[in-house]
Amino acid sequence: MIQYETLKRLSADLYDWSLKKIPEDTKQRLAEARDGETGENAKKVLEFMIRSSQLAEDHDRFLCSDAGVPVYSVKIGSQARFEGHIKSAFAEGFDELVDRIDPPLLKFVQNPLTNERSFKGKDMPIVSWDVIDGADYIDITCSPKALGSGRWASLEIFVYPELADIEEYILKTAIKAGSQHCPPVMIGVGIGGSFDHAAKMAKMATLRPMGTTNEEPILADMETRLLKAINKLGFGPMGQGGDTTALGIHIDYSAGHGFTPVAVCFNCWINRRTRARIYNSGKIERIE
Amino acid sequence: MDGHSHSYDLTLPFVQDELNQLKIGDLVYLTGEVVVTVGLPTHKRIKEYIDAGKQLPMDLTDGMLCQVGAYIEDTESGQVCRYINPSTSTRFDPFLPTIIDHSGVKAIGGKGGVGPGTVAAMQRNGCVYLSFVGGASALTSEAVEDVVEVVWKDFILQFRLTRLRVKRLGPLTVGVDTKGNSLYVDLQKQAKAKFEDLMQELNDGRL
Repeated sequence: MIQYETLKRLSADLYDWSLKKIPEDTKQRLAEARDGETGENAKKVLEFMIRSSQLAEDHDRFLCSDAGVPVYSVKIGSQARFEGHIKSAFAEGFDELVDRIDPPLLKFVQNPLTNERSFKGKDMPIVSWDVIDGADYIDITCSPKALGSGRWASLEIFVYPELADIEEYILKTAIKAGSQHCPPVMIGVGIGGSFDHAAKMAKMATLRPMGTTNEEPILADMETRLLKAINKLGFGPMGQGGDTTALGIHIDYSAGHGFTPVAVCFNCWINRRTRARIYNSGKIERIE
Repeated sequence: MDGHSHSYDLTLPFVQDELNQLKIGDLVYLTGEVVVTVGLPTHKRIKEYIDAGKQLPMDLTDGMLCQVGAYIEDTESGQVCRYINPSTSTRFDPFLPTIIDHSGVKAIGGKGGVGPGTVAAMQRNGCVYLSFVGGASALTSEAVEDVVEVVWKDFILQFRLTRLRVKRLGPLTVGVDTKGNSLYVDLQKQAKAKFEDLMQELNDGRL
Protein backbone atom coordinates (compact mmCIF):
# COMPACT_ATOMS: atom_id res chain seq x y z
CA MET A 1 0.00 0.00 0.00
CA ILE A 2 1.39 3.40 -1.01
CA GLN A 3 1.16 5.75 1.95
CA TYR A 4 -0.22 9.28 1.64
CA GLU A 5 2.82 10.75 3.41
CA THR A 6 5.23 8.97 1.06
CA LEU A 7 3.46 10.30 -2.01
CA LYS A 8 3.28 13.80 -0.58
CA ARG A 9 6.95 13.82 0.33
CA LEU A 10 8.11 12.36 -2.98
CA SER A 11 6.13 14.77 -5.15
CA ALA A 12 7.59 17.70 -3.24
CA ASP A 13 11.11 16.25 -3.36
CA LEU A 14 10.88 15.80 -7.12
CA TYR A 15 10.19 19.52 -7.48
CA ASP A 16 13.04 20.40 -5.12
CA TRP A 17 15.50 18.13 -6.97
CA SER A 18 14.48 19.46 -10.37
CA LEU A 19 15.45 22.98 -9.33
CA LYS A 20 19.00 22.05 -8.32
CA LYS A 21 20.36 19.55 -10.81
CA ILE A 22 20.39 19.22 -14.59
CA PRO A 23 19.41 15.82 -16.04
CA GLU A 24 22.50 13.74 -16.88
CA ASP A 25 21.74 13.51 -20.61
CA THR A 26 21.36 17.28 -20.80
CA LYS A 27 24.60 17.85 -18.94
CA GLN A 28 26.40 15.63 -21.40
CA ARG A 29 24.78 17.32 -24.40
CA LEU A 30 25.78 20.76 -23.11
CA ALA A 31 29.39 19.61 -22.80
CA GLU A 32 29.30 18.22 -26.34
CA ALA A 33 27.85 21.51 -27.56
CA ARG A 34 30.60 23.47 -25.82
CA ASP A 35 33.28 21.29 -27.36
CA GLY A 36 31.76 21.61 -30.81
CA GLU A 37 31.03 25.35 -30.79
CA THR A 38 32.95 27.49 -33.26
CA GLY A 39 31.79 30.83 -31.84
CA GLU A 40 34.07 32.20 -29.11
CA ASN A 41 31.27 33.83 -27.10
CA ALA A 42 28.98 30.83 -27.58
CA LYS A 43 31.65 28.58 -26.10
CA LYS A 44 32.07 30.95 -23.14
CA VAL A 45 28.34 31.06 -22.51
CA LEU A 46 28.08 27.27 -22.56
CA GLU A 47 31.06 27.00 -20.24
CA PHE A 48 29.41 29.48 -17.87
CA MET A 49 26.20 27.42 -17.92
CA ILE A 50 28.07 24.20 -17.22
CA ARG A 51 30.14 25.70 -14.40
CA SER A 52 27.11 27.32 -12.85
CA SER A 53 25.07 24.12 -12.94
CA GLN A 54 27.94 22.22 -11.33
CA LEU A 55 28.13 24.83 -8.58
CA ALA A 56 24.37 24.57 -8.02
CA GLU A 57 24.58 20.79 -7.83
CA ASP A 58 27.59 20.77 -5.49
CA HIS A 59 26.11 23.33 -3.11
CA ASP A 60 22.43 22.43 -3.33
CA ARG A 61 21.49 25.79 -4.83
CA PHE A 62 19.01 26.79 -7.51
CA LEU A 63 20.04 26.52 -11.15
CA CYS A 64 17.61 29.29 -12.04
CA SER A 65 16.04 31.59 -9.49
CA ASP A 66 12.78 31.25 -11.38
CA ALA A 67 11.35 28.03 -9.98
CA GLY A 68 8.33 28.51 -12.22
CA VAL A 69 5.27 26.56 -11.25
CA PRO A 70 5.35 22.86 -10.40
CA VAL A 71 4.07 20.74 -13.27
CA TYR A 72 3.62 16.99 -12.84
CA SER A 73 2.80 14.18 -15.19
CA VAL A 74 1.50 11.29 -13.13
CA LYS A 75 0.85 7.77 -14.35
CA ILE A 76 -1.05 5.54 -11.96
CA GLY A 77 -0.64 1.80 -12.29
CA SER A 78 -4.00 0.05 -12.46
CA GLN A 79 -2.73 -2.33 -9.77
CA ALA A 80 -1.37 0.41 -7.53
CA ARG A 81 -3.03 0.69 -4.13
CA PHE A 82 -2.83 3.81 -2.05
CA GLU A 83 -4.02 5.25 1.19
CA GLY A 84 -5.88 8.55 1.08
CA HIS A 85 -6.40 11.11 -1.69
CA ILE A 86 -3.74 11.41 -4.37
CA LYS A 87 -4.63 14.89 -5.60
CA SER A 88 -4.42 16.47 -2.19
CA ALA A 89 -1.08 14.73 -1.58
CA PHE A 90 0.40 16.79 -4.42
CA ALA A 91 -1.18 20.02 -3.22
CA GLU A 92 -0.10 19.48 0.39
CA GLY A 93 3.35 18.41 -0.71
CA PHE A 94 3.77 21.71 -2.54
CA ASP A 95 2.56 23.70 0.47
CA GLU A 96 5.05 21.97 2.74
CA LEU A 97 7.87 22.37 0.27
CA VAL A 98 7.32 26.12 0.20
CA ASP A 99 7.93 26.11 3.96
CA ARG A 100 11.01 23.90 4.02
CA ILE A 101 12.92 24.37 0.75
CA ASP A 102 16.36 25.97 1.00
CA PRO A 103 17.12 28.39 -0.56
CA PRO A 104 13.54 29.66 -0.19
CA LEU A 105 11.28 30.05 -3.21
CA LEU A 106 10.17 33.38 -4.55
CA LYS A 107 6.46 33.79 -5.26
CA PHE A 108 5.80 32.62 -8.78
CA VAL A 109 2.21 31.38 -8.73
CA GLN A 110 0.18 34.07 -10.44
CA ASN A 111 -3.53 34.61 -10.61
CA PRO A 112 -4.06 35.54 -14.29
CA LEU A 113 -7.23 37.47 -13.49
CA THR A 114 -5.75 39.77 -10.88
CA ASN A 115 -1.98 39.37 -11.51
CA GLU A 116 -1.62 38.68 -7.82
CA ARG A 117 1.42 36.57 -6.89
CA SER A 118 1.47 33.91 -4.24
CA PHE A 119 2.60 30.41 -3.36
CA LYS A 120 -0.94 29.15 -3.80
CA GLY A 121 -3.44 29.25 -6.59
CA LYS A 122 -6.27 27.51 -8.36
CA ASP A 123 -5.23 24.15 -9.89
CA MET A 124 -1.76 24.46 -8.42
CA PRO A 125 0.34 22.32 -8.78
CA ILE A 126 -0.55 21.53 -12.37
CA VAL A 127 -0.98 17.78 -12.61
CA SER A 128 -1.98 15.64 -15.56
CA TRP A 129 -3.06 12.07 -15.01
CA ASP A 130 -2.70 8.87 -16.94
CA VAL A 131 -3.01 5.15 -16.26
CA ILE A 132 -0.55 2.31 -16.85
CA ASP A 133 -2.38 -0.97 -17.21
CA GLY A 134 -1.09 -3.67 -14.91
CA ALA A 135 1.56 -1.64 -13.11
CA ASP A 136 1.76 -1.74 -9.30
CA TYR A 137 3.32 1.68 -8.93
CA ILE A 138 2.71 5.38 -9.40
CA ASP A 139 5.13 6.99 -11.86
CA ILE A 140 5.70 10.73 -11.35
CA THR A 141 7.58 13.14 -13.58
CA CYS A 142 8.13 16.71 -12.43
CA SER A 143 9.10 19.39 -14.94
CA PRO A 144 8.42 22.86 -13.55
CA LYS A 145 7.69 25.58 -16.05
CA ALA A 146 8.59 29.25 -15.98
CA LEU A 147 8.09 32.21 -18.28
CA GLY A 148 11.54 32.15 -19.89
CA SER A 149 10.87 29.22 -22.17
CA GLY A 150 7.15 28.75 -21.46
CA ARG A 151 6.15 31.93 -23.24
CA TRP A 152 7.23 30.82 -26.72
CA ALA A 153 5.17 27.66 -27.09
CA SER A 154 2.81 27.73 -30.03
CA LEU A 155 -0.03 25.73 -31.54
CA GLU A 156 -1.71 25.93 -34.91
CA ILE A 157 -4.40 23.82 -36.46
CA PHE A 158 -3.84 22.80 -40.08
CA VAL A 159 -6.15 21.02 -42.47
CA TYR A 160 -4.57 18.05 -44.28
CA PRO A 161 -1.03 19.48 -44.06
CA GLU A 162 1.92 18.12 -46.00
CA LEU A 163 5.06 17.31 -44.01
CA ALA A 164 6.60 20.46 -45.54
CA ASP A 165 3.80 22.58 -44.00
CA ILE A 166 4.42 21.07 -40.59
CA GLU A 167 8.19 21.55 -40.80
CA GLU A 168 7.75 25.13 -41.99
CA TYR A 169 5.60 25.91 -38.98
CA ILE A 170 8.15 24.41 -36.58
CA LEU A 171 10.99 26.36 -38.18
CA LYS A 172 9.00 29.61 -38.08
CA THR A 173 8.17 29.04 -34.41
CA ALA A 174 11.89 28.55 -33.71
CA ILE A 175 12.69 31.81 -35.52
CA LYS A 176 10.00 33.68 -33.60
CA ALA A 177 11.35 32.42 -30.27
CA GLY A 178 14.81 33.47 -31.42
CA SER A 179 17.09 34.27 -28.50
CA GLN A 180 14.37 34.56 -25.90
CA HIS A 181 13.81 31.09 -24.47
CA CYS A 182 17.25 30.61 -22.86
CA PRO A 183 18.78 28.54 -25.65
CA PRO A 184 20.13 25.97 -26.28
CA VAL A 185 16.67 24.50 -25.84
CA MET A 186 14.99 21.15 -25.99
CA ILE A 187 12.12 21.32 -28.46
CA GLY A 188 8.99 19.18 -28.24
CA VAL A 189 6.45 18.80 -31.03
CA GLY A 190 3.06 17.12 -31.07
CA ILE A 191 1.34 16.42 -34.39
CA GLY A 192 -2.28 15.35 -34.73
CA GLY A 193 -4.89 14.13 -32.28
CA SER A 194 -6.87 17.08 -30.97
CA PHE A 195 -6.06 20.57 -29.70
CA ASP A 196 -5.37 19.49 -26.13
CA HIS A 197 -3.75 16.20 -27.03
CA ALA A 198 -1.24 17.80 -29.42
CA ALA A 199 -0.11 20.21 -26.70
CA LYS A 200 0.26 17.36 -24.24
CA MET A 201 2.29 15.34 -26.75
CA ALA A 202 4.62 18.28 -27.38
CA LYS A 203 5.20 18.75 -23.67
CA MET A 204 5.82 15.04 -23.11
CA ALA A 205 8.14 14.91 -26.12
CA THR A 206 10.50 17.38 -24.45
CA LEU A 207 10.86 14.88 -21.61
CA ARG A 208 11.99 11.99 -23.79
CA PRO A 209 15.60 11.05 -23.00
CA MET A 210 18.08 12.74 -25.32
CA GLY A 211 19.81 10.53 -27.83
CA THR A 212 16.84 8.20 -28.21
CA THR A 213 15.61 7.60 -31.74
CA ASN A 214 12.00 8.02 -32.72
CA GLU A 215 10.26 4.70 -33.41
CA GLU A 216 8.50 6.20 -36.40
CA PRO A 217 11.02 6.53 -39.29
CA ILE A 218 9.26 9.58 -40.77
CA LEU A 219 9.61 11.38 -37.45
CA ALA A 220 13.17 10.16 -36.83
CA ASP A 221 14.07 11.69 -40.18
CA MET A 222 12.17 14.89 -39.39
CA GLU A 223 13.93 15.25 -36.04
CA THR A 224 17.37 14.91 -37.64
CA ARG A 225 16.70 17.38 -40.44
CA LEU A 226 14.94 19.95 -38.24
CA LEU A 227 17.62 19.93 -35.55
CA LYS A 228 20.21 20.67 -38.21
CA ALA A 229 18.07 23.42 -39.75
CA ILE A 230 17.25 25.08 -36.41
CA ASN A 231 20.89 25.10 -35.37
CA LYS A 232 21.79 26.73 -38.67
CA LEU A 233 19.54 29.67 -37.72
CA GLY A 234 22.53 30.88 -35.70
CA PHE A 235 20.90 32.29 -32.54
CA GLY A 236 23.26 30.24 -30.37
CA PRO A 237 23.49 29.88 -26.58
CA MET A 238 21.55 32.71 -24.86
CA GLY A 239 21.22 34.34 -28.28
CA GLN A 240 24.89 35.28 -28.45
CA GLY A 241 25.23 33.77 -31.91
CA GLY A 242 26.61 30.29 -32.47
CA ASP A 243 25.99 26.75 -33.61
CA THR A 244 23.81 25.56 -30.72
CA THR A 245 20.29 26.98 -30.59
CA ALA A 246 18.69 23.61 -29.83
CA LEU A 247 20.01 20.61 -27.93
CA GLY A 248 17.45 18.38 -29.55
CA ILE A 249 14.01 18.14 -31.07
CA HIS A 250 11.61 15.34 -30.17
CA ILE A 251 8.42 14.84 -32.14
CA ASP A 252 5.43 12.68 -31.38
CA TYR A 253 2.25 12.12 -33.34
CA SER A 254 -1.20 10.76 -32.89
CA ALA A 255 -3.93 9.69 -35.27
CA GLY A 256 -6.68 12.25 -35.57
CA HIS A 257 -9.04 13.79 -38.06
CA GLY A 258 -8.34 15.92 -41.14
CA PHE A 259 -7.71 18.91 -38.89
CA THR A 260 -4.16 18.48 -37.67
CA PRO A 261 -2.97 20.47 -34.70
CA VAL A 262 0.77 21.05 -34.53
CA ALA A 263 2.08 22.09 -31.12
CA VAL A 264 5.63 23.25 -30.44
CA CYS A 265 7.11 23.93 -27.03
CA PHE A 266 10.52 24.58 -25.54
CA ASN A 267 12.54 23.64 -22.48
CA CYS A 268 15.38 26.03 -21.63
CA TRP A 269 18.96 24.72 -21.42
CA ILE A 270 18.41 23.49 -17.85
CA ASN A 271 15.75 21.10 -19.20
CA ARG A 272 14.28 20.60 -15.73
CA ARG A 273 13.07 17.05 -15.30
CA THR A 274 12.94 14.54 -12.45
CA ARG A 275 11.12 11.25 -12.26
CA ALA A 276 10.45 8.51 -9.72
CA ARG A 277 8.14 5.63 -8.95
CA ILE A 278 6.52 4.46 -5.75
CA TYR A 279 5.58 0.79 -5.59
CA ASN A 280 2.86 -0.85 -3.53
CA SER A 281 5.67 -2.28 -1.42
CA GLY A 282 6.62 1.26 -0.41
CA LYS A 283 9.85 1.12 -2.41
CA ILE A 284 10.82 4.36 -4.11
CA GLU A 285 12.72 4.07 -7.38
CA ARG A 286 14.41 7.23 -8.58
CA ILE A 287 14.54 7.15 -12.38
CA GLU A 288 15.93 10.64 -13.01
CA MET B 1 30.64 38.36 -32.41
CA ASP B 2 32.74 35.42 -33.48
CA GLY B 3 36.28 35.65 -32.28
CA HIS B 4 36.47 39.45 -32.33
CA SER B 5 34.83 40.43 -29.07
CA HIS B 6 36.63 42.39 -26.39
CA SER B 7 36.32 41.98 -22.67
CA TYR B 8 36.00 45.00 -20.37
CA ASP B 9 36.02 45.59 -16.64
CA LEU B 10 33.75 48.55 -15.89
CA THR B 11 32.92 50.25 -12.63
CA LEU B 12 29.73 52.05 -11.70
CA PRO B 13 28.73 54.84 -11.97
CA PHE B 14 29.40 54.60 -15.71
CA VAL B 15 31.60 56.91 -17.71
CA GLN B 16 30.03 57.71 -21.09
CA ASP B 17 33.28 57.30 -23.06
CA GLU B 18 33.70 53.81 -21.69
CA LEU B 19 30.18 52.86 -22.72
CA ASN B 20 30.62 54.35 -26.18
CA GLN B 21 33.53 52.02 -26.92
CA LEU B 22 31.41 48.90 -26.31
CA LYS B 23 30.32 46.93 -29.35
CA ILE B 24 27.67 44.26 -29.57
CA GLY B 25 29.15 40.90 -28.66
CA ASP B 26 31.71 42.39 -26.27
CA LEU B 27 31.87 40.97 -22.77
CA VAL B 28 31.65 43.13 -19.67
CA TYR B 29 32.35 42.57 -15.96
CA LEU B 30 30.76 45.10 -13.61
CA THR B 31 31.83 46.33 -10.21
CA GLY B 32 29.83 48.80 -8.15
CA GLU B 33 26.16 49.27 -7.32
CA VAL B 34 23.29 48.15 -9.52
CA VAL B 35 19.52 48.38 -9.07
CA VAL B 36 17.48 45.23 -9.66
CA THR B 37 13.80 44.28 -9.91
CA VAL B 38 11.67 41.94 -12.03
CA GLY B 39 8.39 43.60 -11.25
CA LEU B 40 6.08 44.84 -13.96
CA PRO B 41 4.26 46.88 -11.30
CA THR B 42 7.66 48.23 -10.25
CA HIS B 43 8.53 49.38 -13.76
CA LYS B 44 5.06 50.85 -14.01
CA ARG B 45 5.57 52.75 -10.76
CA ILE B 46 8.96 54.07 -11.89
CA LYS B 47 7.28 55.40 -15.04
CA GLU B 48 4.47 56.96 -12.96
CA TYR B 49 7.04 58.72 -10.80
CA ILE B 50 8.77 60.05 -13.91
CA ASP B 51 5.49 61.13 -15.52
CA ALA B 52 4.50 62.96 -12.33
CA GLY B 53 7.93 64.58 -12.00
CA LYS B 54 8.51 62.86 -8.66
CA GLN B 55 11.99 61.90 -7.51
CA LEU B 56 12.70 58.16 -7.59
CA PRO B 57 13.72 56.59 -4.27
CA MET B 58 16.91 55.36 -5.94
CA ASP B 59 18.96 57.58 -8.20
CA LEU B 60 19.60 55.83 -11.51
CA THR B 61 21.87 58.52 -12.98
CA ASP B 62 24.84 56.87 -14.78
CA GLY B 63 23.68 53.62 -13.25
CA MET B 64 22.23 50.29 -14.24
CA LEU B 65 18.67 48.98 -13.90
CA CYS B 66 18.52 45.21 -14.18
CA GLN B 67 15.60 42.91 -14.82
CA VAL B 68 17.01 40.59 -12.22
CA GLY B 69 15.11 38.84 -9.48
CA ALA B 70 16.68 38.77 -6.02
CA TYR B 71 15.84 36.83 -2.89
CA ILE B 72 16.72 39.10 0.02
CA GLU B 73 16.51 37.61 3.49
CA ASP B 74 16.32 39.58 6.73
CA THR B 75 18.82 38.15 9.20
CA GLU B 76 20.17 39.30 12.56
CA SER B 77 23.22 40.67 10.82
CA GLY B 78 21.15 42.56 8.26
CA GLN B 79 19.85 41.87 4.79
CA VAL B 80 21.42 38.98 2.92
CA CYS B 81 21.03 38.24 -0.77
CA ARG B 82 20.49 34.49 -1.20
CA TYR B 83 20.45 34.52 -5.00
CA ILE B 84 19.84 36.58 -8.10
CA ASN B 85 18.91 35.69 -11.67
CA PRO B 86 17.91 37.62 -14.80
CA SER B 87 14.46 37.73 -16.34
CA THR B 88 13.13 38.31 -19.85
CA SER B 89 13.62 42.00 -20.62
CA THR B 90 11.14 42.35 -23.49
CA ARG B 91 8.34 42.15 -20.92
CA PHE B 92 9.34 45.61 -19.76
CA ASP B 93 9.48 47.26 -23.19
CA PRO B 94 6.33 49.34 -22.56
CA PHE B 95 8.10 51.17 -19.70
CA LEU B 96 11.79 51.18 -20.62
CA PRO B 97 11.86 54.05 -23.18
CA THR B 98 10.41 56.52 -20.64
CA ILE B 99 12.75 55.26 -17.94
CA ILE B 100 15.79 55.54 -20.22
CA ASP B 101 14.80 59.00 -21.48
CA HIS B 102 14.23 60.50 -18.04
CA SER B 103 16.17 58.71 -15.32
CA GLY B 104 19.73 59.08 -16.56
CA VAL B 105 20.19 55.30 -16.50
CA LYS B 106 23.04 54.12 -18.74
CA ALA B 107 22.57 50.37 -18.84
CA ILE B 108 19.67 47.97 -18.80
CA GLY B 109 20.46 44.40 -17.83
CA GLY B 110 18.44 41.25 -18.31
CA LYS B 111 18.21 38.43 -20.77
CA GLY B 112 16.95 37.91 -24.28
CA GLY B 113 17.24 41.51 -25.48
CA VAL B 114 14.80 44.41 -25.80
CA GLY B 115 12.44 45.65 -28.52
CA PRO B 116 12.91 48.44 -31.10
CA GLY B 117 11.39 51.23 -28.98
CA THR B 118 13.80 50.52 -26.16
CA VAL B 119 16.76 50.27 -28.55
CA ALA B 120 15.87 53.71 -29.99
CA ALA B 121 15.75 55.17 -26.48
CA MET B 122 19.14 53.62 -25.75
CA GLN B 123 20.60 55.25 -28.85
CA ARG B 124 19.15 58.64 -27.88
CA ASN B 125 20.68 58.46 -24.43
CA GLY B 126 23.98 56.62 -24.90
CA CYS B 127 22.64 53.66 -22.98
CA VAL B 128 23.56 49.97 -23.48
CA TYR B 129 21.84 46.62 -22.95
CA LEU B 130 23.84 44.00 -21.10
CA SER B 131 22.72 40.41 -21.33
CA PHE B 132 23.09 37.92 -18.49
CA VAL B 133 23.30 34.16 -18.92
CA GLY B 134 19.79 33.06 -17.94
CA GLY B 135 19.41 30.22 -15.49
CA ALA B 136 23.00 30.41 -14.26
CA SER B 137 21.93 31.70 -10.87
CA ALA B 138 24.57 29.89 -8.84
CA LEU B 139 27.50 31.52 -10.62
CA THR B 140 25.83 34.89 -11.25
CA SER B 141 24.96 35.22 -7.55
CA GLU B 142 28.62 34.85 -6.55
CA ALA B 143 29.22 38.44 -7.65
CA VAL B 144 26.85 39.93 -5.07
CA GLU B 145 28.79 41.45 -2.18
CA ASP B 146 26.13 43.29 -0.28
CA VAL B 147 22.53 44.48 -0.16
CA VAL B 148 22.73 48.26 0.00
CA GLU B 149 19.07 49.21 0.08
CA VAL B 150 15.60 47.81 -0.52
CA VAL B 151 12.59 50.08 -1.12
CA TRP B 152 8.94 49.79 -2.13
CA LYS B 153 8.37 47.02 0.37
CA ASP B 154 4.67 46.94 -0.37
CA PHE B 155 5.66 44.75 -3.33
CA ILE B 156 6.59 41.06 -3.07
CA LEU B 157 10.32 40.34 -2.72
CA GLN B 158 11.35 40.06 -6.35
CA PHE B 159 9.34 43.14 -7.33
CA ARG B 160 10.97 45.48 -4.81
CA LEU B 161 13.56 47.97 -5.95
CA THR B 162 16.84 46.61 -4.62
CA ARG B 163 20.29 48.12 -4.78
CA LEU B 164 23.08 45.55 -4.70
CA ARG B 165 26.83 45.97 -4.51
CA VAL B 166 28.51 43.61 -6.96
CA LYS B 167 32.08 42.66 -7.73
CA ARG B 168 32.97 41.53 -11.26
CA LEU B 169 29.39 40.67 -12.14
CA GLY B 170 29.50 38.86 -15.44
CA PRO B 171 30.42 38.08 -18.07
CA LEU B 172 27.54 40.13 -19.46
CA THR B 173 27.28 40.40 -23.23
CA VAL B 174 26.69 43.75 -24.89
CA GLY B 175 23.39 43.10 -26.66
CA VAL B 176 22.67 46.69 -27.69
CA ASP B 177 25.38 49.35 -27.96
CA THR B 178 25.12 53.14 -27.63
CA LYS B 179 24.81 53.51 -31.41
CA GLY B 180 21.63 51.46 -31.53
CA ASN B 181 23.18 48.28 -32.92
CA SER B 182 21.34 45.22 -31.62
CA LEU B 183 22.64 41.68 -31.51
CA TYR B 184 19.03 40.47 -31.41
CA VAL B 185 17.94 42.39 -34.49
CA ASP B 186 21.03 41.16 -36.36
CA LEU B 187 20.45 37.53 -35.43
CA GLN B 188 16.74 37.70 -36.31
CA LYS B 189 17.62 39.17 -39.70
CA GLN B 190 20.22 36.48 -40.31
CA ALA B 191 17.81 33.74 -39.33
CA LYS B 192 15.02 35.10 -41.55
CA ALA B 193 17.44 35.45 -44.45
CA LYS B 194 18.28 31.75 -44.13
CA PHE B 195 14.65 30.61 -43.97
CA GLU B 196 14.09 29.83 -47.69
CA ASP B 197 17.36 27.90 -48.02
CA LEU B 198 16.68 25.91 -44.87
CA MET B 199 13.18 25.03 -46.11
CA GLN B 200 14.74 23.85 -49.37
CA GLU B 201 17.22 21.72 -47.43
CA LEU B 202 14.40 20.25 -45.33
CA ASN B 203 12.42 19.39 -48.47
CA ASP B 204 15.40 17.96 -50.34
CA GLY B 205 16.52 15.81 -47.44
CA ARG B 206 13.14 14.28 -46.58
CA LEU B 207 12.95 10.46 -46.76
